[in-house]
Formats: sequence, C-alpha cells, structure tokens
Amino acid sequence: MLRRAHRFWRGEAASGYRFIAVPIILLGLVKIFPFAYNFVLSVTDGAFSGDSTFVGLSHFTHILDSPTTINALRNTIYMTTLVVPLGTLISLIAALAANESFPLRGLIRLGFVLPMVTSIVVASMIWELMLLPRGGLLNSALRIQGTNWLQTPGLAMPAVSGVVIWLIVGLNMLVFLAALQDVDQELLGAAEVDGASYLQRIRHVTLPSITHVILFVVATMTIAVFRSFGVIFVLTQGGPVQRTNTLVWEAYLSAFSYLKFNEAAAISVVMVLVILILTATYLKALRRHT
Amino acid sequence: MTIRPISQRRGDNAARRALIGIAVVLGVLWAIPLLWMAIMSVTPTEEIFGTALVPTQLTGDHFRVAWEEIDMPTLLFNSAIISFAAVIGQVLLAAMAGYAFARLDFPGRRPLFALLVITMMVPFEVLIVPLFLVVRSLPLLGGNDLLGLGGTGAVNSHLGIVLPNLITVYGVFLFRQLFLSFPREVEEASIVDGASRSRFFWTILLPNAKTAVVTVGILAFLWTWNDFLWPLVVVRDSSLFTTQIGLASFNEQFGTRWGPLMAGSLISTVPVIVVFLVAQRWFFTSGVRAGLKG
Repeated sequence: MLRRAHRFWRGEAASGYRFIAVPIILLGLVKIFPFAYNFVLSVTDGAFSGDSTFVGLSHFTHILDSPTTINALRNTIYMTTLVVPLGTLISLIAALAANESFPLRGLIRLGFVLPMVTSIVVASMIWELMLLPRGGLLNSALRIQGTNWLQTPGLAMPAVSGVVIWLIVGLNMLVFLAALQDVDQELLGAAEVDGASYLQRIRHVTLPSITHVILFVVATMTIAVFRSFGVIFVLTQGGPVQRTNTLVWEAYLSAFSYLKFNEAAAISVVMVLVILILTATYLKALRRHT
Repeated sequence: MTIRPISQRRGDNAARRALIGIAVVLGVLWAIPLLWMAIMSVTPTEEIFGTALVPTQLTGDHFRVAWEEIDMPTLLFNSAIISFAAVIGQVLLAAMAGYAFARLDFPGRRPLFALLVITMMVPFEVLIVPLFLVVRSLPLLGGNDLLGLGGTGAVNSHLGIVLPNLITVYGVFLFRQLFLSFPREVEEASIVDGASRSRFFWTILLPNAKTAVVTVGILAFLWTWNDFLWPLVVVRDSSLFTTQIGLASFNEQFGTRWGPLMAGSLISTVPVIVVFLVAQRWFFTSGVRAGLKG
C-alpha cells in the first residue's frame, strides 16, 4: 500500500498534478471562475450579500431597453470604424517602410514603437495637454483658435480614437514587420524580373501572402477598441453628452459608480458574446485563406 | 519576358520613395507627443501655454514638485514591487503549467486546457466585476470569515493588486509550445539517471527556455507597470497607489498643473523605455513572432 502510494507520487500523473496545482488554482481564481461567475451574475440579483436570487434575463432586457446602453454600443462600433481601418493602414505603411532601408530608419521605427510601451494614462494626459483649446499644441500647429476637441460632441470621439490609434500602431507595425520578413523573397524577385512595379508587387505578392496577418491585426485591433478604458477615463469620462460612452465605460460606471454589479455583468456578457463572434469570424476567415 | 525600360524603373522608385516619405512624416508625428512631454517637464509654468515651441529657459522645479506633491517615491515603490512579483509569478507559474500541459499526462489535462483556451479569448477588462467580487470575498483576509463574507478580502492591498497579474494564460501557451519541441530523449535520460522531474525542470528545462522567459517577463513587466483599470478598482488608500493611479488622481484634482504632471509622467515612463531599449532587438525579432504563435 505504502509502496504503491510512493510509486504514484513518483509517477507522471502525480508530477503533472504537482506542477499544475498552483498555476491552476490561481487561474481558476482569477480567470476561469470569474468567466463562469460573470454569467451567473448576469442572471441573478444581490451580488453583495451571500444569497442571490435568480432573475432570468431581466438584466438583459433592461440594458437592451436602455438608451444609454444602446448608445454605448453604437459609440463602441463608431470607435471601431474610426480606429481599425486607419490603424491597420498606418501600421501597414509603417511596416512596409521599416522593411526597406533608408537613412534614419531606426529612429522612425522607434518613433512608431515607443507609444506602445507608454502607459495609457500617461499617453492620455500628454494628449489632453496637446488638445487644450487655448495654448494646446494641436490648435497652435493648425493655427486654429479655441476648438475644444474633447468637449465638442462631434469631435470628442474622433479625438479619443486618434489617441487610441497613436497607442496601438506600434505593436501592429511589429506584427506586420515580422510577417513581411517571412514573405517569399524569390517570388518578389521573380515579379520584379517580370516587370511588376513596386506597387504591383505589394498588391499582388506581398499583400496576398500576409492576408492571414491582416485578418489577425483587424481582429485584435477590434478587441483592443472594446478594451479601451484608460483613454476615456482620462480624456472624457464618457462625455460630452455621452458621446464617448462605450460599453467598457458603461460597465465600469454601472459597477463602481452605481453599484449595479449584476447589470454590469450583463453588459460584460454582451461584450463576451461580441468578442466570441468576432473571434469565430476571424478563425473562419483565416480558414478560408489558408 | 522583357527588361523594363528605365523610365518605368524611375516610376517604380518614386512609388517606393513616396511610401517611405509618408512613413517618415507619420513617424515624426508619432514621436511628437513623447518629446512634448519631455519638453513640457522642463518648461517653466508661465511658458507652457506660450507660443514658442522650445522654452527660453529650463526649470527643474516640476520634478521637485512631482517628487514631493505627487509623491512619486511611494508610487514608484508600489509599482515596482507589484511589477516584480508579477514578473516572477508569471514566468515561474506559466513555465510550470506549460511543462505539465506539454509533457505530463494526467487525467483531466485536456478539459483543463480547453477551458484555458476559452478564457484566453476574453479580455481582462470584461471580467472586472466578477474578479472584484472574487478578490473581495477571499476567505480570512481583510476581516472576512471562512466563507469570504463580512469583510473586504484582499481589496485595498498589495496582494489584491498583484493577484490577477501573477499568471497569464498566454504565458502558459508560450511555454507549452516551446516545451513540446524540447527533445524527449534528454528528459528520459535525466529521469533514468535518477533525477526527479522537478530537478529536470529547474536545472535543464527552464534554463533552456530563455526566449519564453524573456518574452513572458518583459510583457509581464510592461503590462503590470502600465496597468490602470485593475488598481483603480481595487485600491482605495493613496499609500497603495501605483504610478498610473497616482498620476491620474493628481490630474483629476489639479488638472491644470501640467508641468509637474509631465515631470511625473516622464519619471514613470523611464523604466519602460529603458526595458524597451535594452530588449529592442527582442522586440523586433523573436518577441512578436513568439507572441503571434503563442
């Protein structure tokens, strides 16, 4: 008996459990359980007390009836349409250029990449300073006076989106750069010998061979927009007149300002579903292209 | 097949130059905000809203004010211990889990791994509410009873801030991927020689996983140092503020004191820029690729 126990302890399965125990308990606590608990919260009431009551889908019908949440969803989609196409395009141009050799290439590359390691809070505060209506760098540079970027309803979301683009281009440029280095050089050379121009080579050789990476960048950038919290916290707090109120901001407010934890969980579930749909679409598109 | 006429080649070069030109202009625009932060941190207050791009005189006052009034030493200390714990935790725990998932066959391995795949898709921001409730109801902490009721758990403590940052699913994947390609013969040989699996893990496997260790370590540091939402949710006392929380709260209270804010921002950005410059080669080569495949 003892010997068998001893053998088990030395065995592979036992080693497996010993190695996995601490990581899996922690993952269970901070990832797996919260993921499941989120669904439970969204269909119950009374997150604070020990006992909770099942309320069905009433939180969902409530948030889907609420103009605030619908507005937040609309704002999130609007932000996505502003950030993703432009962000992807700039990342791609930066990567294509960084893949060529020209003077000061290292410095330009650094200029694109440093924002990626800068904290979102610091970045947002710098932009807040630069966007000030009087004396801000942007207005001075554009020679316009008094335009209040962050307090004008029509301008706030484009301004916030600009800051998000500034932050995320670096990472995506690196992703594109890694992909460009894997593009078949012989194919590019053959296209050149065949008389394809630089732009034709990009269009017919380079881009088709990195389609899967473009899909990856679009998918991860969309999710990054869904996650944008710090920029909104520092720059607009959801204003003016709710024009930059996104889903993540709405969920944060519901939970930690209004203490409606269950409603916040329901908003989170909506976001989980959107993200899962996006991921599934990405994987499907990926399969079609490979 | 024809050799292209010279004129066409010239057009070719023009397109290439135009693309590089656009990228250079964008790159310069991209560099301005961080430079602006640095310039403003040494510009006297009365000149911050002046028309001159470069200050006529420099001042170190903002750094003194940031150090004393934003209390940068406390903020830096809190950020440093949390980031340090996160780096150690993420590297070790991800490596251990990665080894178990890659090499050790134990009942329940597949379903556990499938669960992790699902949770990896869901960003941290979305789980903030349940995570807060979990940290709040950790038993026997912060006045809680055995069932996790009655007190505030690990809310408002270093433990509370660092707990979700101690492990990443992404890191587990990265290590698993790397360990899958490690030659099995080496493992079998060392186990036959009498070494335990733990000994093999610590003395042979981990020292041979430098790429993954560096990747997970750097990302753990950057993420935790720059993290904002979680410490914002979990911390109340200013003595526990991280640099991000401290700067944001100073900005909310004294939003017009741009000089000290920019000085504090600069101080808090120096560590990440140093890490970036030291590991620059990694960023441009293995890092992103490893991240993509992980």
